[in-house]
Amino acid sequence: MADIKLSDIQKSYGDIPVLKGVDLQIADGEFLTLVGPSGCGKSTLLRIIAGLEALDQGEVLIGGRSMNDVRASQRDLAMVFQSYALYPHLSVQQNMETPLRLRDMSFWERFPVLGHLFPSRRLKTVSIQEIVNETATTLKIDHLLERKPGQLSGGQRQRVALGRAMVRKPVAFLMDEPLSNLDAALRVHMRAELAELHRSLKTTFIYVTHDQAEALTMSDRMAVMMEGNVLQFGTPDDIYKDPRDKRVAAFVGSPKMNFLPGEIDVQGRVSAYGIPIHKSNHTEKGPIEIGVRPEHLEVGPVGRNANQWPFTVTHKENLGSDFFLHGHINGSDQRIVARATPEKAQQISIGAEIKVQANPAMTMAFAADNRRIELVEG
Amino acid sequence: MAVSSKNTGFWFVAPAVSLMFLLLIAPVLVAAFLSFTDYSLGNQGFSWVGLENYIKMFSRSTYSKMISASVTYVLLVVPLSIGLGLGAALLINSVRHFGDFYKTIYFLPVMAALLAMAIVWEFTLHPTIGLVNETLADGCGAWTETVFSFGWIPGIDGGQSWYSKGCQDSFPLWFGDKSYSMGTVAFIGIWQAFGFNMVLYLAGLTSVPRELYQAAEMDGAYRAWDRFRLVTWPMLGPTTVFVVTITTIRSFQVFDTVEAITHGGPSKSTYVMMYAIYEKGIQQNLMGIGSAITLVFLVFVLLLTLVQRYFVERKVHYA
Ligand SMILES: Nc1ncnc2c1ncn2[C@@H]1O[C@H](COP(=O)(O)OP(=O)(O)O)[C@@H](O)[C@H]1O
Ligand SMILES: [Mg+2]
Repeated sequence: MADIKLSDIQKSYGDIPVLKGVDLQIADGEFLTLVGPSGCGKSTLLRIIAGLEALDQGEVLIGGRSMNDVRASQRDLAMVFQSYALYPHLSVQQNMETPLRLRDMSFWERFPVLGHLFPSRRLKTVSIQEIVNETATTLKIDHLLERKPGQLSGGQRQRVALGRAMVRKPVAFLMDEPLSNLDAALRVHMRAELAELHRSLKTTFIYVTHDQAEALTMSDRMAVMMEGNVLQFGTPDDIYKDPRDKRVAAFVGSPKMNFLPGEIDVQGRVSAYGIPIHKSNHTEKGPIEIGVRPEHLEVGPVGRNANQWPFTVTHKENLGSDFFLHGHINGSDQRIVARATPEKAQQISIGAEIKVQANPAMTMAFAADNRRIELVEG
Repeated sequence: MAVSSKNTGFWFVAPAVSLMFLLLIAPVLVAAFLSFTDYSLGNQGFSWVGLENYIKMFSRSTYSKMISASVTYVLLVVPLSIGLGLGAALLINSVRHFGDFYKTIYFLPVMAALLAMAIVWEFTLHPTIGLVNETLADGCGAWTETVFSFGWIPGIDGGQSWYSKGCQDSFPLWFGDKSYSMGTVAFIGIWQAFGFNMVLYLAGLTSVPRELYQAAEMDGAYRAWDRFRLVTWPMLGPTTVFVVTITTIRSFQVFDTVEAITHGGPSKSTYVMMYAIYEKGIQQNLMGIGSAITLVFLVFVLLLTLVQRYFVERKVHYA
């Protein structure tokens, strides 16, 4: 076990820069998620950590030791691939034995036919099988050991791939979208199981996903990547409540944050759609964007307060526990989403003209260059 | 007049089935029938001889030599051309540059007419004026003899080596010497077949998932041999089965080189089945015995196909 440090990782394919100087410090035993839209370079970064891809500049340090000249097989990392990459001709048992045989048996002990002449081979085989059986029991795949990968379901293959990674007790697990080939229900179930597995193994997990919900639910810390940069690195709570960049705010959370056109006037007061939101900033001026999450838009009318936006409901989305009301403010064509309780939503029909109001404490402002603007009360 | 829909299917397959029967099955049946007679082309009639043709085949030494020549040829050409083809494919697949250049060079013998190439090899390997023996003779007494007589390796008497003996007496007659003829004919077969096998293996290699190599690397397979054993060789299983079957059948069919150069000799050392069929059936007009050899030949090919179909294919397809 060891901490992993990435400093100024850069990588281009031809003329196209894919990673533009990534710095990350991953603590020992941490569950770190790399999350971002498709094509932002998450897999490339993971493969650079693994050693499967060469980097153009920067350094990967594992336990303080530079890994730049260490090949993938010597880094003592294990990887779970998106396609699982199980050996199709080997049984589940043999698939899981492979990393141990390669590590513990000498070249000649593994040699076909000749290997059986070594008495040490038998002893090692027994201890390898013990580890495999133990791991298979943990993952509840002990009844599948004789099968070939072709005879398994997606979820079972996923467990076998996990098992193959676990038997060696590596320094860290690298996982590239391991749940993306599973159906929705199983994916939600595996989220919990993976998080539990991480807690019991206490080993570093580096987990790549494009699904912000996976990142929020599973990780200790998450790094939001976009266009080859890490935009923000922090706990899921931090990133959700305090995004430092408009792109992070838009990416994390579902349904995504609403952005309303607003401005800061000469007195520093902030308004959106001409209505003040009781916040101010005294260093910036001019047009800005106001970010409000759907759950922070109160559906009204709320009391006799005049500072509310007129809202035309165009669509109601029923999630059972909650309703999401889609519509427009002030007749603009921008789609806005607000959350309502089922009781409240029942009284509102499609086409209704209602009022909505932003919760001032939860309102954020962003500059034209995506930068977060700090607001103070008043 | 309506055709009942139950029988419509038969009408659709009828053209294909009748053509298959006429062009493929009927000739085999005719050959099977002829193999029990003493028919000659142009004769008015023929008489029924029962199993005589087959009894001849299994009792006369000519035919046991024929079988052993064919089997020797197959056992030489199949493993060597496949081994070389796989090796070349792996090397070409691993080089960054000039891959297409090597592919073209190695594929040239496949495209050339074997008959023409056989004649070129006949000249090249001519005992007195051939390029090979002249080059060998030029090396006598020079550094080549010193190196290739291996006298420099402790414990080996250079004077007794193949090269030094060749310098003292003469170099092999190749096609004219019965201890070299089969090897030389097989060499031409390997030279011709390996480019084809290489191309098949190259195609097979492109379908090996790259992620499997990466998984093997992550699992600790840092030696090329480990990755070959763990990924390449198993994933090439279907290709190998196909290559072995095709090469074996084609090797059983070897004819051009034998007809052009050795005519089955010397002393029947290269008397392969296809040449025997041609000599008996066409040259000597003994259709009966020719048909009998043809049927034995067919049985060999059929057995091969069955082995491929029922024993091997099941093991190499993993899906
Ligand atoms: N081997 C490659 N050659 C060229 N471009 C590549 C290669 N691998 C990835 N890329 C490009 O790099 C970018 C990042 O890829 P990747 O790291 O796979 O993104 P993701 O975040 O979806 O995992 C993409 O634009 C992709 O097209
Ligand atoms: Mg990816």
